[in-house]
Amino acid sequence: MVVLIALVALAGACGALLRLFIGELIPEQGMKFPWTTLAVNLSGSGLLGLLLGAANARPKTPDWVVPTFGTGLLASYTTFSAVILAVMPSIPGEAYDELAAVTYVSPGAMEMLTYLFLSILGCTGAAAAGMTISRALFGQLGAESADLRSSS
Amino acid sequence: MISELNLLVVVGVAAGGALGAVLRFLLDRYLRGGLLVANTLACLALGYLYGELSWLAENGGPGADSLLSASVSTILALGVLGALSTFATVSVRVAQRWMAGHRLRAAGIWAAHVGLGFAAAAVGIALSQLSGLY
Repeated sequence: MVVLIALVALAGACGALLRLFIGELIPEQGMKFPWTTLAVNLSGSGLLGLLLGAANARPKTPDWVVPTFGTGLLASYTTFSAVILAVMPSIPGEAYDELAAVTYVSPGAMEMLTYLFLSILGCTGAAAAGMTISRALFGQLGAESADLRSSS
Repeated sequence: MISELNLLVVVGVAAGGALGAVLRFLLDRYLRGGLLVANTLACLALGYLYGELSWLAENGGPGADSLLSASVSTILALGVLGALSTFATVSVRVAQRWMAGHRLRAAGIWAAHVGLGFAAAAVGIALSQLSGLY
């Protein structure tokens, strides 16, 4: 368990660093839309789908693989809190006074809602696609080799 | 988040990412609904941090422009809270339930994460307004 926690910690550090460096390469400050976070979350969800699909298709996958590369690396690489905060009204003080009025629409509210739904639908779709691809690539092979083993 | 990528930020984000990942791993493994707790906690804390930073930016409070405060907030927001919260795991779990035919439960998972995330972020921002700096 201690080894597993150490692996998750190491992989979590790598995941966070990866997101930091991608954010440095493609900074979001000048953008009207958080493309970088969206790309990080889409790619991370797709890769996690691939990983879990492969691990499910191959029962012999070592126990530490999914916690390390899934829970540690890919889950830390993606972020939920940044998405939620980006969708929150931009300036807390003023926005909160205005939020009392139902008619208030913060600047870019439609874009941010689009961002939220694009993230949710896109990432879920990417995860599903990843699992489907993994099943297609490894599932059949895993089943066949299991059959071969049991028959021989 | 920052343009000055200094050693403190790189080491801090790595350490913060490790901490956030382990916390989420333990929550998810030993607590029912632990993943929801992890994402909600991260939104609460990021809301609080965001509220404090907004206040500092507006009022030019102590250390608003200092490199240290920018570094520390990057470490907290991007390292600890970024790694404590996750999009990929939720996506995969929703996708699994969706593909298994549990459409309503799948939609409910996202609704819970987003709803609690918003509520927690709002509480975090409100707490930052109530706290000493305000």
